[in-house]
Amino acid sequence: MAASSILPWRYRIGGLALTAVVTLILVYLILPQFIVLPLSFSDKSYLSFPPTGWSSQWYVKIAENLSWAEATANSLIIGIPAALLSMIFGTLAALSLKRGAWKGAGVMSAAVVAPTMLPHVILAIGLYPMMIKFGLLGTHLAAIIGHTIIGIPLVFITVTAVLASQNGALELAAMTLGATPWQTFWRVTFPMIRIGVFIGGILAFAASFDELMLSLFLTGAGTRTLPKLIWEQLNEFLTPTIAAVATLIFAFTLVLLVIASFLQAVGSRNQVTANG
Amino acid sequence: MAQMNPRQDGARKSSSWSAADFNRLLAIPPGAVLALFFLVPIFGVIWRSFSDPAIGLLNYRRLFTDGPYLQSLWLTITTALMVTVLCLVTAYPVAYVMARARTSIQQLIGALVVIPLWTSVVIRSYAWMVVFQRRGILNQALTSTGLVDTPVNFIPGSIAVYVGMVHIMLPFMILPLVANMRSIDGRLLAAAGVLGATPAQAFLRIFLPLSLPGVLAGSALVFMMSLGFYITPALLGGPRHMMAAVLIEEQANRQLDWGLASALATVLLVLTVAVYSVYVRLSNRVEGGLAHGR
Repeated sequence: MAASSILPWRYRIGGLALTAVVTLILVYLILPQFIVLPLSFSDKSYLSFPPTGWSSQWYVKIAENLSWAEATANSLIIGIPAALLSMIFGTLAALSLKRGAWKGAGVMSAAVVAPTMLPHVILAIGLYPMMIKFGLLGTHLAAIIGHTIIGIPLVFITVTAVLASQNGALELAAMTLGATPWQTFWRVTFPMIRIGVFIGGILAFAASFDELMLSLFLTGAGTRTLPKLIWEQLNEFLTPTIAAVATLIFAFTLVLLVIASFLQAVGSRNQVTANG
Repeated sequence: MAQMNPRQDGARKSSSWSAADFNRLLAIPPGAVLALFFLVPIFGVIWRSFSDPAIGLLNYRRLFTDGPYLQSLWLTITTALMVTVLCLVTAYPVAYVMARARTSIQQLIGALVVIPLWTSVVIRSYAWMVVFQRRGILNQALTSTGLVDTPVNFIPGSIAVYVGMVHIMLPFMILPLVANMRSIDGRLLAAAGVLGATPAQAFLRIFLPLSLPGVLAGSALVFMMSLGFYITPALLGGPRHMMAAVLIEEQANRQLDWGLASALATVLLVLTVAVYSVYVRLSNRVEGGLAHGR
């Protein structure tokens, strides 16, 4: 580290240039937040930036227009069950693939993760005729099913990461000492992977809360989600109302992010104490 | 391996009942759900591409002979490539600084990289609309500085699509790069310095080659995810930058041409799966390399 002080000046200029470039890229990364936030308090009805005056009229408009509340409710009605189902199926898949001594575990993991990697439009046009056949098109359940499929990989990844740091000796010990598989799971395995399951669940909820393509195909007038409503509004007219909605959503996801990183910190602290 | 012949003695004692056996049963519920609501729909799309409106290669013949469809597929591939290159060029310096910085700086950059990931893609594309629209920030800046006389129509257009897509994909490039760069032993660079290499030589001969696994894994991930982009090109690119996912949605939802939409989706699926299998192999190698290095 002390080497930097004895470096020739041209290397230090190189370092400064690198810092400047990286700073610019980081500004680019957070720029959208700094556009949307001031815009949501703008006093003009069209998009002008920077705003000439301040007003909270767009937030009042959101409160007055019932469709925003309805869409938020739909997003929660779909997102919470989808996250819970993802937690169940994702955890089961992770446990089975990590501890099941499967021969093709690598290929199977790749298959479980595939739904997040493949373009959502393919799954959407595949599920659409299926949901018509089941008579579920336009119901909350149709969207819950679709969002569960893209949530499972997220839980699977986080739980697999936790399981990879433990070798299964504790479960083996519990079962050798006469615990049933059910007891072993609730008393030994679940406490170890709990935090991974919850973080995965938050990720799955966030993914559902932001998902547009499946909602475009699977939800109807009464079940449309928040991203779908924003999408419909964006295609019709641009007003700062969207910016106000965006700011509220951002505040909400920031809370989720803080919870997730808090859980992660707790998880890594537990691991440190467990390892000695 | 005790689980090789688990049922041989047939006893009910827990020691003969293998844990691995039980864990295999756990795969049934998620396997059933994924088979029914993921594999069946996907195979349904493939089947439909050969059978709607009549069994045969009709949809594919249209796809590969009609100009606009082929053009859109080609545009999808070139856009994904361009986004990958742009992401790599912008992500590399950020990852380099992040991997070698103090912990506090690392956490700051990490937060700045992760926060956009948690912001809705629709909203981020909306923010770029605000920037690029006719009376938007960029045009205001361009006209007030006299760089252009009349506002430029960035939307719909390719520049806006690239800026928006790179913004969304950048964290997916930075994170694998950082993971890989952290595993590079800093003493190698110090040793090169002691032996007389300039920092530029040490970087080019030692750091850059060692970071290649991260570069390949990140590039494959970004390329694959870029192939299926819908929101950004639909909002910012319009008919001028019609990527495959936008065209599929339009054919299915508006033109009601499900056969052609399915054929396009199948081609997109084959492309993505091909890149995905490369990615899985690459990221396994990165992980394997890390494990052996320790």
